[in-house]
Amino acid sequence: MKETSCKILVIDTSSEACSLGLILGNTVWVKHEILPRQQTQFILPMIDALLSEAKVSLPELTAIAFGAGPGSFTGLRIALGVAQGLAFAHNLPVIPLSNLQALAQQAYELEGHDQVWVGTDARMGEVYWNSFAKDAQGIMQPQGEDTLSEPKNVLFHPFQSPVWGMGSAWGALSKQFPEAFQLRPEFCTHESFTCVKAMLILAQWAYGQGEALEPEASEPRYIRDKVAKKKPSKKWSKLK
Amino acid sequence: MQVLGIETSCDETGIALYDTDNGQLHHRLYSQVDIHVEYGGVVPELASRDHIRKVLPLINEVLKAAKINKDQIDGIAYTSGPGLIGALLVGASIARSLAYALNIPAIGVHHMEGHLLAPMLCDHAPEFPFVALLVSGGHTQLMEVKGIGEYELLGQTLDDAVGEAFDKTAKLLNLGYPGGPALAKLAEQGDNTRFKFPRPMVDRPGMDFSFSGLKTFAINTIAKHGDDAQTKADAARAFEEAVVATLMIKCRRALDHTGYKRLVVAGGVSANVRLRCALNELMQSRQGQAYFPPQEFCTDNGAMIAYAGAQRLLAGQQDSDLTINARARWPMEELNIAERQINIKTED
Repeated sequence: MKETSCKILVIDTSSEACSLGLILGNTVWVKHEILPRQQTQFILPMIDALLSEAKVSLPELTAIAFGAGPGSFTGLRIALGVAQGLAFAHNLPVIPLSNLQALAQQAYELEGHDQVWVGTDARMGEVYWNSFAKDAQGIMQPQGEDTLSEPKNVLFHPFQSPVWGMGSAWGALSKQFPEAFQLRPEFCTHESFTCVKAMLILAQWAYGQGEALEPEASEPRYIRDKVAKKKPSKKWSKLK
Repeated sequence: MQVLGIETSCDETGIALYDTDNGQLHHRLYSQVDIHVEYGGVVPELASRDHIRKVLPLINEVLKAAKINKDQIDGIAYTSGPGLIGALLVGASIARSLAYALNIPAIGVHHMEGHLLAPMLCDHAPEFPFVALLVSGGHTQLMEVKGIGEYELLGQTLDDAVGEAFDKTAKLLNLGYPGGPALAKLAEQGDNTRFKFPRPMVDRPGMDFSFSGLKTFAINTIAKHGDDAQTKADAARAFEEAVVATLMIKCRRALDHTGYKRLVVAGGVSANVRLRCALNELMQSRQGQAYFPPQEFCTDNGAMIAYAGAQRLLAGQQDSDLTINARARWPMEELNIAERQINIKTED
């Protein structure tokens, strides 16, 4: 990881894990635990422990990054809610990160894959997906928007050279895209160090690009926006 | 002490700042009703999504109105239950981490305790002890209140909450969502002598309620007498009369049981004019007094949470660790000062 003066805390609770990363100069700190339905109990104590181990206080930070999605809706809001609370207190900016991009960056950091198709399980027979390719700075750049669709409607970027497949949806996608010759089904929950490290790399890059926001302005990226059916409107009875 | 209050338990984002030294209060309320109206009810996921957009901007507005900086906040109170778990978690996550970052105490507040204490925000606040009637879309309870954190449940609904009965009956009368206030408005045009609805559970001892039968009675009335406008208005009137009479009978029993002379009425339905009149008359006839929250604090709001949390912070209580506390269900009887030291675990 490149040396930097940025001091960034990253919070991710988009899956069943509670993942934290902190970069101070060229030192990286990571805390990661699989805590299904218990993230609310452990996230602040873990942050507290991380900050004291690294001997840094919140006001010294440059920014707070968070996994903005796609992922568990409640999890995305826990990460953002905590990031908002911490950042608002000390007038720090907040950096939203794509969890699909984090997986692509992880594939690059871990094994050097520079063209990656990412698909994650969105349940209800759908997947979140996007394609990523490495740029000159070593950042896995999206080749489109993070998208939600049925597996049969996925349109990955047609890379010319070998492609790596990544994410929890590969069970559903591998038959359709056999050219992604190696498949990694794991989600952020495994290879944790690399994933949080990948998020820190993306956070530094995003901060440099001016993508940090005021905490008030940051939102999760749910991708799935249809979450309820509208009732057919009944005619109002006319009452005198 | 400046206490920030954060309420996100259902479909209203309420933020307030309460100064315990001079009673000064600044508050902002954002209602999501327009978001949910096309779904015919509150959609929990949409409620959560909207809360997280609104909490910080409303905190900014309140701080600006109060002319203080965030580092002058001395404590943060947040609704930690009961309510929609996802919605509660938004307020709790922000509140708990903001308090941690500002190095100030936080306290999870019971939503209904907030309602219960809302009449304290009046100029003429009731003294303890009193009987409390909590009537909202989610609750119908009679409590004996000896002091803050000293609550004994006297009776509660066995099925629909009274506000829920209003809304459901309104829906059956095609009054839209949320139809409770529309139903009360329609009732004004109704003839109170045409129909008489039953008074549920008044013929047996005790202080419990049951309201689910009234909507069925309303349906049957309309089916039998036609769905013309006047019949609907008359049915609405009879429905409201039955609800008010039932609540009054049970309040009388609670006052007899406790011997108290003060009745505090809180929750969304406490805004109902006919209920207010009936209970005022009841208390006058008993040489006692009825207390209602100011109209603006009948609905969910942050002010009541800031106030209730401030009382507990003043009593030396606070969340004992860094857990983000949210509980979808939380019986009010579990609330007392000793038990508050025990930590509340998150439900999901």
